Amino acid sequence: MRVPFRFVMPALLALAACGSDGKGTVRVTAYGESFIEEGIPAEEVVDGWAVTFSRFEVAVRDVVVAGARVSVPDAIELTTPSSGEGHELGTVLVPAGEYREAGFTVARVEVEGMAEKGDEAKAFSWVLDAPTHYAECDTTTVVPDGGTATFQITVHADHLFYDSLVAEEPELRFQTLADADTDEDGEITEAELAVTDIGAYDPGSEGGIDTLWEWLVAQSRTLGHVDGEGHCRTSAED
Amino acid sequence: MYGRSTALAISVALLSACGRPEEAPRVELPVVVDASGVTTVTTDLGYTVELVEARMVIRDLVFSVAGEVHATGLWSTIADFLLPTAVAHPGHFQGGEVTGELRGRFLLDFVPGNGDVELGTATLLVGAYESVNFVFERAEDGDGLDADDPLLGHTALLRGHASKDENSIAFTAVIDSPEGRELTGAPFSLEVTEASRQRLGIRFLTEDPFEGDTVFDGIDFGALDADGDGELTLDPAPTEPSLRDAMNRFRRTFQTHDHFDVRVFE
Repeated sequence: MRVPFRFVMPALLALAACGSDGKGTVRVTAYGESFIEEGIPAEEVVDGWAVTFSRFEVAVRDVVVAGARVSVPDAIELTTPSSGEGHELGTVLVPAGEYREAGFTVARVEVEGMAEKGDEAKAFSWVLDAPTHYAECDTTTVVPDGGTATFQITVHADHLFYDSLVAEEPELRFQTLADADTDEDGEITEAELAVTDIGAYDPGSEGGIDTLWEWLVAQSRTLGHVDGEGHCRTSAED
Repeated sequence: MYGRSTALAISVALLSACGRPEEAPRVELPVVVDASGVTTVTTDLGYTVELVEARMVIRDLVFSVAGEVHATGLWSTIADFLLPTAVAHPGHFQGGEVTGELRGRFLLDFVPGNGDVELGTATLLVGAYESVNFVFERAEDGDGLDADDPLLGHTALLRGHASKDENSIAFTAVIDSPEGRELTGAPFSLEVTEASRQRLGIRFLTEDPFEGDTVFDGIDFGALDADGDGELTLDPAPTEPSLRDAMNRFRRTFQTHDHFDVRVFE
């Protein structure tokens, strides 16, 4: 039996509407990429230092994706290998559809590690307590009806070692930080960084950043990205 | 240098031809070099500093309004493409949208009493302006300099005297900004309407009018003049540690929006 087209079309539209009423899952992950899980190789750093992290704990809160708040743990350790998948923070069930305007807050970053160059080695253990809200993130999360979408908070550890806060393509450097170990005990401490000038680093037009500790805190506010390289609008929460 | 301006004009013309009501009114205002910001200052270390020469090369002045551009439809799309969003810098302006421009390379000569040299005519959409951005450049042959001009290859050249107690030191400072280094958020406060006819004066400010700090703060001219001959040269990349530290600090301060603004001549 042939069904007239005028009856088929409304039926198709009705099915489409049913589909848009369905639900899907958003899975939120955090990923430190190879730079955190494996380290930053010397060839990436212009002055030849290689950096490895033994701990890279990120405290995340206020995650909102697809208009829904996602319950996440207080902190996530990102040095644990994840085979490129990142670490799941939580899931939420939302209506199927395409979503933008995701946001989250990185409340604190705790990093421990070692930088090495030839016979030199410098340890560091820093708590970067600079709550930063990331909003209007540049990504689209497509939630399929009955399926799962992933929203990844990507943490770019290499930003800690950028030599500019404003350059389009900053260089990675460690020597300036290594030189801050003024007591030469092999550990670069917050106290040492707090009394060391940033030297040739460029803090940008606003200025107001004169010490290396202030520099690291400022750079820590730039670590958060989404789905790899997606950027967000950032604002300080402290 | 006319690429984006021309594109903007063509886009506006196309919109106009289509009879779209969204076209934003715009005006053209002359931009001049204004030396009134180069004043004798006293630094945090007690030096009285007077400049006799202050020249620099920049490009692409762009002007930002507060808040968002409320254009719609096709105009909004074109404006987004042509006029990128400005970077917000709390303390000087709270974000905004670039809706004015004067493109090109410019040699700024801030010699007091040298007259107001006109750089060109800026095109601005009407709106409440808050700030100006530009890019630091390095002087090239085409910038109208003599072949032996010490500014060639560099961003800025400042020459003057720093005096403290009974001692005076003649100094020359040559600054190299990183390639493509943009200065954002310099103050420019003006409600631009279709009736606006003001001149705009770009200024280098030896003293920050908001906080009172000077561009020479932290520079101990006397200590840096190690040989005590009363002359000091700050090169872009000195090897001597104390000079290097001084240049790093000086360049950092020079490149902040605290030391530039645009004055409006009514």
